[in-house]
Amino acid sequence: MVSRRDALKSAIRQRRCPPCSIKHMAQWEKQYKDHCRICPFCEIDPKDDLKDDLDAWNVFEEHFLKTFPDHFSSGNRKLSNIPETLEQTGKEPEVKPGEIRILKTKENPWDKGFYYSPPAVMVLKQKSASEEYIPVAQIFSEPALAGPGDLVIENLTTGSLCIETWNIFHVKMESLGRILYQKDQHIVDAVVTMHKDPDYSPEFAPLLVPIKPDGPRALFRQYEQETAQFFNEDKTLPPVFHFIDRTTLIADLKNKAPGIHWKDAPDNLWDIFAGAVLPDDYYPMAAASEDFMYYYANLYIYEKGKINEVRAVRAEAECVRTEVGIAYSIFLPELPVPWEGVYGYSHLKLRSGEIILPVEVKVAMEYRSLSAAFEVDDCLTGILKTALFCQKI
Amino acid sequence: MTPEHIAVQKWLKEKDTIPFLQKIADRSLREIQSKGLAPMLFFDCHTNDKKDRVDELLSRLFIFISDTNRVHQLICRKGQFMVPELRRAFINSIIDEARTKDPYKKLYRNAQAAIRESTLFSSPSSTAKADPTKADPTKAISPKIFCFWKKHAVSPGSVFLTDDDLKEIPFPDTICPGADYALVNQRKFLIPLAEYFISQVEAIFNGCSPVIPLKMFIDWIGKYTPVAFYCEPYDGEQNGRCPGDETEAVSCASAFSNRLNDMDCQIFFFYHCQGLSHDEVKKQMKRKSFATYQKEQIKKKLSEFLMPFSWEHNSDASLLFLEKLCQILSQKIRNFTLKAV
Repeated sequence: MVSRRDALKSAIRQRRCPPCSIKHMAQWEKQYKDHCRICPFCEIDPKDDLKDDLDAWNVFEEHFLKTFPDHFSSGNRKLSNIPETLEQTGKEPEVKPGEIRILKTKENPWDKGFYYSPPAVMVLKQKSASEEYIPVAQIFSEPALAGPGDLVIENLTTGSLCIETWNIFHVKMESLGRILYQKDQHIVDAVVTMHKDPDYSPEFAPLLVPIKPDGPRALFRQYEQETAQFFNEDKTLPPVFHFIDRTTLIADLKNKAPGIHWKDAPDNLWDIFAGAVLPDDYYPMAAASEDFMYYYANLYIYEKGKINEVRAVRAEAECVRTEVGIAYSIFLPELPVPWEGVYGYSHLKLRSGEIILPVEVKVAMEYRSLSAAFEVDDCLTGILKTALFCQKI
Repeated sequence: MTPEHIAVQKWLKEKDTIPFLQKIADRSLREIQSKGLAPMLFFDCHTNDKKDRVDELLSRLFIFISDTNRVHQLICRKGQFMVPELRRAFINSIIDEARTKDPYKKLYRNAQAAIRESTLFSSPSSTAKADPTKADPTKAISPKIFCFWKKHAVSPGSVFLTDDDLKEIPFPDTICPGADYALVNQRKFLIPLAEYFISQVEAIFNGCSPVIPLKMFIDWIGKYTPVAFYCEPYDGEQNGRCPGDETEAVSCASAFSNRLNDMDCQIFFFYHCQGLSHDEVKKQMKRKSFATYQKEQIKKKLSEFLMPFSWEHNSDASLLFLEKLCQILSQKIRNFTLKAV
């Protein structure tokens, strides 16, 4: 059993130190030197044996799989070196939910003296023709660093897989590298459910000890999130905040907006954001004409994954019936930030306190509006709650 | 006393016998090591030195020969297979001895029997028989691992605890008068201890009832009293001081100093190396404010930087780190004041 401190040490090296092949590349000589100046690990042992060995094994494995592609498989999938691109096969590459793949290295893998090694990710959805990106959840392999929100799958042959259901981002198809394993659909479902409701834990996964704010795991999450931000390609991405648990998130919000409160104890993460009631002075004076229904959405402005400011934004909603239920068009005439990069979320809250999650939320930048679809029969089913997120500019 | 016994006793005293037995001991050690049995068989020593181990094996071999009737005949026959047979019998005997002596296994077996028989807990075999339709709470754990949970617990679930978490559960002196192997290995203490341990774990998970792998419980006891002997250096976890601490601390100082910009260097140096007051720092840096915000930011940076190092709480290494860091910073500050002039 490793201690969390030791686990953190190897995790940082894995995520931020260059592999051995990079160390000898003339192209990155300057970057490598800069890295060694600030990295306590590479500084101590510039030719660190263990990590070099691991890196070498990875290179070997890749060559091996390339040479004997037909001999290794997981389920019915070949574990070959798959960047099965359009050019190679003549057809759209096939990527299935549940696949665990390594991302490809970025063209420039350096940032501020650190090398960003591509993480393994789990593919969560099949790519649809209309979308450019596919959602993936980042993965690590040391359960000592796992906390609530991570889905830990123990396997005696492959070791542990820890899927960060709180750390989902979007990449292009071509950024996916070779496949490592294929996991079942029920695991993908569990990841998606856990992402929506951080308090949920499927019965096949172990419960994990809550994270302490100043401990190694809190710092590890910060690193993991930075890694995800580095590899994320869809910049309109729903923000993934660096929060530890609901209690600290609520404390954080109370700190940023004194007087913020909830009518009843918030049920899930989204309820915290969308259901928060801000103190009176956050709401502008009532508009002179009240011809249409309006309400206030909560706008969260964040910086480096942390909430910086909370504001109330006037919103006008219009309900229309659709094939599967209803949809709200939410207009935000007075949004104080540019529409680029805004992410919106809405749910319905019933009188009973129950929450109905949306089946789809979309930001329509050109119409300066947001649309939220629900699978309910009636526009009067519940009260619409909205949260908006935007990065500080 | 059989004639063979007398003959063997006499043989053991002959001057050629010891070198002969030494060879057998030497060969046995090689066999033990090639089979990876060393950590299991050498739990009494704290050295990996080959000579010490051969000596230990030799004395054990001596006792084995003089005490075991069936090898007396073997030795008296002096057949051509005498040496390999003697060696095999000897190695088997010390493996047997280790099995019954290994304190970890003894405690494990004792606890397993106690928990199985106790009415306070459920374990997989008993529920499977009682109600095969019931969901198996050990689903997330390998079926070969013995687990237990509170009887009548509502949907118990598996939990994951690391060493760090186990260390945080204190040993209850009120339940067991002392963390002592001889005490904890008694049923009258084992059961209350297991009960206490479950309730402590339950508290960590806000009242969700846990399924405890027995190994986890024994490992927790092992935090307070030695239950296993390790001779082979155990990779990974190294508590307290490691030999590399000091060198690591010095190299870290240089890496951290390179992460600070010029102003940060000054702020850190004046506050933490020279121990100046707010007013003095303000004066030194010719600033209007105390730079308390920056001071806090640097402090945070430093604690994050040091987080992965196990010597963070080792005062000697930490002092050395600070000393070295101050030395580097003072040099840096001198350099850029020279440049400014």
